[in-house]
Amino acid sequence: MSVTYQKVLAEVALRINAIYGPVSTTLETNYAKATQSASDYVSTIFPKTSIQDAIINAEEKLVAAISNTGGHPYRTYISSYTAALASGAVVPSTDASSVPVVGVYGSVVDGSDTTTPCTAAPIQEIRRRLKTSSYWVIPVYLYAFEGNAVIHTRTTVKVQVCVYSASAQRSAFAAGNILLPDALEEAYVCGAVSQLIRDDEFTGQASVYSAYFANTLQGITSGLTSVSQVSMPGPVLAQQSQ
Amino acid sequence: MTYLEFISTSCEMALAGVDPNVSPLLDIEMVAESLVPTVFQQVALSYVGDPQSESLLRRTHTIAMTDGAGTLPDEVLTSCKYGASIADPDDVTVAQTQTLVPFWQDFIQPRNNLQAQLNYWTIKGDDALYYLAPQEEYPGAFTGDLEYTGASVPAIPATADADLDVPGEVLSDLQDALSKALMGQMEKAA
Repeated sequence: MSVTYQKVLAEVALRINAIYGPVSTTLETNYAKATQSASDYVSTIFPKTSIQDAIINAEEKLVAAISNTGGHPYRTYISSYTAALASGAVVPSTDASSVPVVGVYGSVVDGSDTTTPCTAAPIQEIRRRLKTSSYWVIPVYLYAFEGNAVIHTRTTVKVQVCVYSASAQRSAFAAGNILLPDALEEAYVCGAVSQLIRDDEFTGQASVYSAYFANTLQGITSGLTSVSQVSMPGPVLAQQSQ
Repeated sequence: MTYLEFISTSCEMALAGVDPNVSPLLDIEMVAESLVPTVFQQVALSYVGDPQSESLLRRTHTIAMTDGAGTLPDEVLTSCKYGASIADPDDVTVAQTQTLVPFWQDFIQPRNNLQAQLNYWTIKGDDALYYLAPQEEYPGAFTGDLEYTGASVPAIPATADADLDVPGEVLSDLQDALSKALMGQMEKAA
């Protein structure tokens, strides 16, 4: 994640002719700046902030695709844990740092030892354990999701989740790196450019970049391991079936 | 070997030769623990009748006696009382002159001079230990701790990290029996 948001911003802005460059050398100078100033942007169609929003929107779509793909290695970049939860507790909508949870849940781990994962078990077996808790000597690490709650055989568990805060990323935009791996830099650009349509401006270009972006999203979601791909047909799959 | 290690190794033994990824025996620690009392009992009973094997099961239990009577813990195999003994940690003569009186009706009879020099003990029912000190007639008056050493079902440790109190020969039989029980091959007790 050494690619900065500002670098992506420049790449997107170039494609919609938003960077000031009456001659090629000026364009190169402005494009290559680590951080462009407001005066470097001259588009009257897409102001600088709208380009930033498009990039954040593209990132949101990438995060949604990754977080809905159980077991995807990119989940590491947005992974977190909930607070420790007693059996029967509702799984919160935020992680332990109050960042919103997105996507499907990951592992469930022991609340006092996050290196020890729990295994999914039938609710009936967990209920028997809980109702006769004083009988058992050997610790077991079982859990089940029941409605919005998690029941388990530990004192507490933590649920591994994906988290994302658009406001936090907007705050990091001026001087921070992209949230996801550098390999998705192209996807950030394609995703943002595909959204930059106003009236009939750049519609052809947006269509081309939309296809690029769709390929990336499909590549991510095809890595499904814990959720059936058939169960979540998105716009990408719908488009392909036409 | 700790109790947790015992359960874990027995579960692994039950998985021998099968693909653990598809085996219904994969996550069976709870099943294993629920089978332990039965398996321990059956293995212990399989030793009964063989004096050499029975000796492997002998454990010393401290029994609180009140007026010559006390209660043996559940794990004591009272059917093996002929190989058992008693002792008083504060009085060596108890062990030296102890005499098991197997039948209750003999235990409660008045004693002659020779008999009255001995420490009588018997087991009434399945868990009641009775004791007569020298020169005492039934009912006895001894109050204090006695040590009973006799064949016992292996005790289930109180914590997962506590060691099983069994010799290696018995341990391997327990593992074998538990793993077979997990595979649905539990043998009926003798």
